[in-house]
Amino acid sequence: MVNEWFKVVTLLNYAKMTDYELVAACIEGEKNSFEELVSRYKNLVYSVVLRMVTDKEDANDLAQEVFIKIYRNLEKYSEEYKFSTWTIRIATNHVIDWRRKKKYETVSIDDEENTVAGGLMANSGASPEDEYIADEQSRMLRDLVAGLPDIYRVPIVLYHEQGLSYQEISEITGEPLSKVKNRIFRGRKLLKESLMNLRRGGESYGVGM
Amino acid sequence: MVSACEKYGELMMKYMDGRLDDFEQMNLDKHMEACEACREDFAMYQEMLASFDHSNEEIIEAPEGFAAAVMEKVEDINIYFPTKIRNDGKVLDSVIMAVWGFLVATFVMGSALLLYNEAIFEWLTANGLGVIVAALQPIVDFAFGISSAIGGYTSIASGWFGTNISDFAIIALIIFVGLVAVQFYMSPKYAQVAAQIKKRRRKIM
Repeated sequence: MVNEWFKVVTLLNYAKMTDYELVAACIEGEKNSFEELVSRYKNLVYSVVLRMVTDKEDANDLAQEVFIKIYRNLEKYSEEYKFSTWTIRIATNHVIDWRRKKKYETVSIDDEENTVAGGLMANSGASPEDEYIADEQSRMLRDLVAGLPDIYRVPIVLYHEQGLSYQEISEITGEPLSKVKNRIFRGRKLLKESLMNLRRGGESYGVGM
Repeated sequence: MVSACEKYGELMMKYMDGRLDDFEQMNLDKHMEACEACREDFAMYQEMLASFDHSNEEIIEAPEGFAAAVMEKVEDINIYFPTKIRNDGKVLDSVIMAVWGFLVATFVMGSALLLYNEAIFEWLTANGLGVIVAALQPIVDFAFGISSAIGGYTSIASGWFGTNISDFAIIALIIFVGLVAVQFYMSPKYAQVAAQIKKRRRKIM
């Protein structure tokens, strides 16, 4: 009974503590304090991961692995970054690693080069009519984003979907601001070209019918 | 012509960032009246932005049971953090806990005795615990002796409590004060711990 009560009291304390204090508590061996960190950042991590992999089950597994990674590396967290920034960095790196491994396992190099184009063809085939509702359109764009190379995809997802600033992204990827900007600009251009190809492909397909 | 369009391409990037001012917007519009390629580009960018905005509106939440699933895995991890400060302070913690428990128990019992000494003593004697009464009587007398020396404030206070608040409420209040004292003492001072760990971190890593 006393233990239960004590647990409730400590949980209430955790809720009042700063991120860094919680990290300190974890390091001191209070694993329960990590749960507070998980509930503070689970939605952030999950949404970043989901936006990068698009499959919900994969996203769930990956997001959990991200938190395990965070726990194992708690000591490397330094207060000069926001905890959210550090978290997103681990999440994006983890997803990139995962995709790299997955490609080695399942896809040959030939296929890899064709994924963007292949995705486009499949998409234009699947939607013969020219009318898109907003949902479909953003899903299509998400597929296009998923087809971008990682160096463009990560900053595009973080900027346009996650709403982070150039500065925050530069802290996450560890690249200078100018490089981040260039990658986002270049990523947008790639997306624009894909969109245009998609449109043209769709039109000529329609005319051909 | 190409370099001109490049310049307008940069304006479009500014548009995507939401930092295009009126003057730049006007320039871009003027150029697009003449340049079909840029007009097409801009339409695509607008579409892109609309789609991004649309997917931004959607709030993504982690699946149910996510934290529990993570914690289950964390429980299995045994990891030694070199910056850890307290070398398993479990012994010290339990000693401190015991001392505090004793103090709080004394406080709670003392308060009860002060307010209800007659009832308690009667009950104790009736149940064959007259020894305890004999041991406590001098202490209670001493306490009342002090309070009357101070000016009887204690009895005024206890008298006021006795007449104005129900017994149950007083007991609840005494226990509550005790619990708050324990909580206040036992709540970890992690702000200090965090500062110490930061120092150690600088040394070790």
